[in-house]
Amino acid sequence: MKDERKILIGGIVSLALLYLVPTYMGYIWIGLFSALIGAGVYLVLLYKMGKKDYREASSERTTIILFSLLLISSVVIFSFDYYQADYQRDILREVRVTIDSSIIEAEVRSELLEVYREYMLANQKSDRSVLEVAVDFFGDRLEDNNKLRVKTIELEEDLNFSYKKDQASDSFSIYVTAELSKSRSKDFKNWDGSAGLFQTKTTLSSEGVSHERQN
Amino acid sequence: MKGKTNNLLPWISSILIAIIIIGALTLIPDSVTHSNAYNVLVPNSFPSAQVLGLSVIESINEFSGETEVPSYYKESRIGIAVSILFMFVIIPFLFVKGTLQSEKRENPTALWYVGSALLLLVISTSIIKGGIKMSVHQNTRDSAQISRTYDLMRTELTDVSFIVVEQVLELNDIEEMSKISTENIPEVKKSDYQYRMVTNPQDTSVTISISSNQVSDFTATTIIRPYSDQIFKYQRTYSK
Repeated sequence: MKDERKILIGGIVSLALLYLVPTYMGYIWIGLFSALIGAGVYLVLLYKMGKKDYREASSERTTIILFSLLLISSVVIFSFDYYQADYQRDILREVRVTIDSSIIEAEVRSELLEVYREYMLANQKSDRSVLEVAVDFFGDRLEDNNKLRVKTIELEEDLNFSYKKDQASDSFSIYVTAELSKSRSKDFKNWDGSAGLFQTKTTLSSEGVSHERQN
Repeated sequence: MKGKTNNLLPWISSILIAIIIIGALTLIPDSVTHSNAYNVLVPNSFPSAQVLGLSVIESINEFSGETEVPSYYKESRIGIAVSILFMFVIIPFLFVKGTLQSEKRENPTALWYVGSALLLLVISTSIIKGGIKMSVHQNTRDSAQISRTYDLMRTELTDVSFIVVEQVLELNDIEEMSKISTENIPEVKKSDYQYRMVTNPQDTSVTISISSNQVSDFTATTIIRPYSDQIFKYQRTYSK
């Protein structure tokens, strides 16, 4: 009787600790799998306790079968749910990158294409550099700290727009960093000082507009 | 034969008790099952599904830029702990204890019925719900793959459209528009999709469509007017 109580209380305390400690540190899945390992140990001890006092062999067999089924099905389901959580997080990140990418194309690449159109039309009459046309086009939307104000101001809540003028190559680049889009490389250093975020670089030169995903 | 039937009878009763418990749980109104107290105090035979739910909420928060931790988060963690303790500690204990008692009395006791019914309930719901989840997940994967293909096609079409606009802008004479062809664009050459382009020098417009054998019901089209205020017009067509 004393042993039974010890096993029951020991099981409750150890499984609760194995689950709650990592969970409160922010690692809920580690907590869940630690508890599962703890459950394996507990079930073995419980089986041994039963085996010691069982009178019939069938009770022993039934306990083994049911405990094994409980553990195996839990390992499979827990692993599958973990995989699913990972999969859903990746899908949501992918969707976020797709949304940000489309917004950037519509906002930045399209505008630079308009600048390119102006550049092509301007050069039918006079000789103007890409930078001159770009600076005229954006006007006071080009801030001194290299920040670019975009037409749709609400976009600046989630996206950082910066510009770079390159006199030597007569080109004008816009860098966009998406604050909510974790992207391919975690170590990538973003233009705005953050790391691992989705970033594009769109460059206007006399050759046209090039657009690349940098991370 | 009679001995075998006698051995099976308690198990049949346990299965019936498990079915009655499931039936009773389904009768609980939604207003109760959705309450915080219910989620914390009533164990779930699927603690990993509860954790999955929290992970999905975290992912959605990351997606939307929400930084505040929802208030029910703490309560859910306690609820999951209760589920784990019931599933792996208390129910197996009741079963072993009930088996020992039943052997002594040579008849199944109430404790054995409770322990075995709950253990069967936990195992069977795990297996059944697990199977359903795996099949649903496969369907989700398939539809995600289709959406991914739509997105790739749209992205590629956008890329090609930008290139075509530049080519039109670089022409000395608009009549030369008919010479523009997608075949000379590297992105099209290496593409897995099929392109169709129609130029119209009269209104300086170009129409480019993209389609794929992978998603035969979907076509995306951009109508390009390089000299108008709205350079691109994007259309999607889903056929049955």
